[in-house]
Amino acid sequence: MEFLGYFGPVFEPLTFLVLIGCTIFGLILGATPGLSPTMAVALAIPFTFHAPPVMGLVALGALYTGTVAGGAVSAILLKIPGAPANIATTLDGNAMAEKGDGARALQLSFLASLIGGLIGVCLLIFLTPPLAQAALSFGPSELFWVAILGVTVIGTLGGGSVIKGLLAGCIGMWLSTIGFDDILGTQRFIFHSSLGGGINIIAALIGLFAIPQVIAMMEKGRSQDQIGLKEVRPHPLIESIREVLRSTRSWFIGTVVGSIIGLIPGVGGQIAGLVAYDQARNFSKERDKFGTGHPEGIIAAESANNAMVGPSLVPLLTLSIPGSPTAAVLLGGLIIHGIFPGPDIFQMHPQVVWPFINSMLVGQVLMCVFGLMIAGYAARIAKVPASIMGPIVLILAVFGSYSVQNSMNDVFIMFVLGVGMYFLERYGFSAAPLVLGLILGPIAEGNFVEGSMIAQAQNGIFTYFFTGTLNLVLIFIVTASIGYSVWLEQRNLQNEVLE
Amino acid sequence: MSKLERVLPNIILVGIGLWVCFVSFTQQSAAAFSFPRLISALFVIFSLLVLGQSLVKKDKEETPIPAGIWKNILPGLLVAALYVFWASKALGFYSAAAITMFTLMAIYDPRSRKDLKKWVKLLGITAAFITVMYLMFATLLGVFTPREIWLR
Repeated sequence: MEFLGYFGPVFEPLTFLVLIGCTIFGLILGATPGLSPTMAVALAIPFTFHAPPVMGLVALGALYTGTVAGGAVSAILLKIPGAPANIATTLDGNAMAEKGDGARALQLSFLASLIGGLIGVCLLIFLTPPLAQAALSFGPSELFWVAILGVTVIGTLGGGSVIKGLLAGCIGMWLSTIGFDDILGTQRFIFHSSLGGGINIIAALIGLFAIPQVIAMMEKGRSQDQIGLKEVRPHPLIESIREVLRSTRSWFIGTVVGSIIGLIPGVGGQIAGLVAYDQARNFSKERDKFGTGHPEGIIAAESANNAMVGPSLVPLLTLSIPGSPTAAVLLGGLIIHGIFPGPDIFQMHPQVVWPFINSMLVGQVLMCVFGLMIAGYAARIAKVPASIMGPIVLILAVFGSYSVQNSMNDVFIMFVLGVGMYFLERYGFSAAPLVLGLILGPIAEGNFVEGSMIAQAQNGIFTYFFTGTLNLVLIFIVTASIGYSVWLEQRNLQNEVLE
Repeated sequence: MSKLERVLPNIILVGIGLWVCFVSFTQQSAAAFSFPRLISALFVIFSLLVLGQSLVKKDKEETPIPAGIWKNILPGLLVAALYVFWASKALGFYSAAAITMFTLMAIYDPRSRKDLKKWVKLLGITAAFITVMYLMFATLLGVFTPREIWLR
């Protein structure tokens, strides 16, 4: 119950104001099609850079919570998921809005998000310390394998080609080695003067997530799709509360599925909503109504999306393995504030980590309150056309990447990486494993070098890195996750051929 | 997407992988390049596998870039590149941002170019956004940016 002693910093006036502001801002960003939670958090990191660690992380946590929940607004009212995680919400949410029940759908969505989110953050509070305690027994060799595991799982479970995921992870790790070697000071891969300081993680994060979106917005040219906004008729809130409380099975399935998926590193919230929706339909007595505007569909999908948020931070805080691409970006945010996630995080930084986690608990309640208040307005903001949103995102990306170190080199690197990522995405590569390689590369290298030194003094590198129970378990998980993903890919391919 | 279009990017990736591998295994000191050697070897292996895959079949995640889209992307990309690599330093950070934002909105706004209201609206949006950026970065965060051209 150590966390109870750290609620004070969350309610400090300025921090609480930041929490409220970022929750509302997150809801609006989430409601804007094309602005995913990952991109929103990446763009916000430079703003938090100058703030005290607690305030900065509270802001990022609130944005994460707000954007995930806000994505439901455009999914319901515009039939455009604010983020891929809200695809399942579109199925029944928009059907309800079409019938004129948009307000009811939004209320159900935010209330279900609250239930899922609260349970998810409670899991984060109670699971993280024991897992961190267990992870304290990890040495350099185990930590090296954990870093490799982080890159491989997010690379292999991303949904695309396994080999491309692994290659993207390798490219990220290579990019992390550019610059001066930390131990010997040797120059590595500095083929242009702007690379002398290496690749700044935040600038790279912004470029890799924001610039491809800007270019994607340019693709449509001057032909903008006309978005039809549904009328939001008032609906008594108390009825929606009763409806959610009656639908125990739906939010229970959503919360369980979301929590489990959040805990698995690399899976992310993109599939949580869809899996929960599918399971809720399978267990429902009214399965035929799913897809026609059935409340259970919205409740299951949205409770799962938000239940995923807390657990996705458990492996991040204890092992530096993010549970989702947004958690991978949050890892960058933690690092720039001097918080290195790992087994000793609760011993080294309890005054920062606990307020951060507690703020997510408070943030869930704020998200629901403000979500219900601004839902109708947020949908209007979601209609901001791509011709305005694209330049805004570009300028935010330039200012954000510059402000990290007041360096134009970071802006150049951000832009080049972003343009490169746009083309890589076109060829089936994903930004998440590349970013994770970039973030986990230094952790993997540090432990690899340290482990090599220990190994040379002991029985050799092979014995040090490839023996011992923990090493073998981690190697098995790395191999199994790759093997399983390859098998899954092959099976899908065979099914496609058969069809 | 033709086979050449599919294979060419992967050939470039193999080339980059081989270059990284060459540098890692030939540069000194060996200790500083021990981790890059490991990574570059994997880089080459995976890029060759991806190249092999692209020779055999098409990845369903691949989406070609039709010629029409190039016509839409290139003007914006050119303006963005000019802003990043030249204007932000030569004209000053805020001036360049304002010009870029207005130009990009003018290029991509779907309304008629003869519509006067459109231009007033775009100017208003640009002024409002750049003011917010100035207040946030220069006033609140105290970020020092390249000097504006009219202040020199």
